Amino acid sequence: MSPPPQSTLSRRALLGGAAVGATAVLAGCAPSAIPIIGAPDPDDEVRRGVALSEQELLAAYDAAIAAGTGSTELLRSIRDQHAAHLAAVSDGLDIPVLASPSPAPGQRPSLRQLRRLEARAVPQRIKACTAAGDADLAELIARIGASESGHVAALGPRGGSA
Amino acid sequence: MSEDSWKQVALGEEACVYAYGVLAAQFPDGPDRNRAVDLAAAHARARDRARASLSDADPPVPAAFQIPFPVDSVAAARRLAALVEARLVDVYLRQIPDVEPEERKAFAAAGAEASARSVSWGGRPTAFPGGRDSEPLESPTASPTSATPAATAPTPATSAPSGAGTTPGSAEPSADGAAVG
Repeated sequence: MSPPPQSTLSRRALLGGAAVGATAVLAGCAPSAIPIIGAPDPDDEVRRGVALSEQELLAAYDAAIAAGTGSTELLRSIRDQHAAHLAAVSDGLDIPVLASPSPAPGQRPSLRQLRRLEARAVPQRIKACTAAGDADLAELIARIGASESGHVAALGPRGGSA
Repeated sequence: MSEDSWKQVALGEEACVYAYGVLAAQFPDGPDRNRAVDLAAAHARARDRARASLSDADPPVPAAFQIPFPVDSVAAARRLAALVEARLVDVYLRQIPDVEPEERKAFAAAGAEASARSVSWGGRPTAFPGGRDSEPLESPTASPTSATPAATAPTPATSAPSGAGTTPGSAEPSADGAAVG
């Protein structure tokens, strides 16, 4: 599974503070193919939405692990998978993304609450998958959703209480 | 979506039908056996929908699939179920770049449901299901020969179908275990 394309990031990195709305005119390019330099990539919003959701899930798992909820081994494994999701979708985003968000004070999610959060995330990922402009990003987000669907099952009666 | 993509979906679903037919016999009467039988039927419906999207209305199907380890115990049956569902995740999700954005929902949902079923049979949850890290968590405790790695899915033992058919896999085989929602 390859990470989402970095074309937007590369463009930004190369151009630095280039003027928003400026256009590049390249010999031989049709006008419709000329990119608008600095224009926001709609996929950044898609990725940002997934990244923020993954941060919330990370915080919930950190709190649950700290509170000794359920199987620490299972929760740590799932927590690390959310960290991998976050890294995959936020790579190149020019917004601050916390690597390890702090759990809210007093937050002690139960296994049932974690399962509910995961179940809520799955349709969100499917929606983001359909919204993504880049096909590879769509596949990446679909795989993240499938992962979270697996988490729902893992946190069920058979897995979560282990 | 391309003809080849539909062939892959039809073949993936056919592999599940075959596998559930084999593994269901290992379960005693009860919930697991009923679930396996129900899922065999659900996968058969999804296979038929995929075939309906093919140009050949009656494509050849494999006579059998190679199962990578002996299925001679309840543990092995669960392992095989987890394996074929994990491989089905990849079958659906790898088609996503080739389908129209409005078609992605059904494929993403089908992949998510297969992922939940795989884990519910004992598969290991992974960060990016469908890849090579989808090997089932549990190993069968059965015969020594069953120590064969389960890294491969059932594969056709005969020539592959040359496909023909029709419709997408709506996210159907959610028959139970999908655990989503």
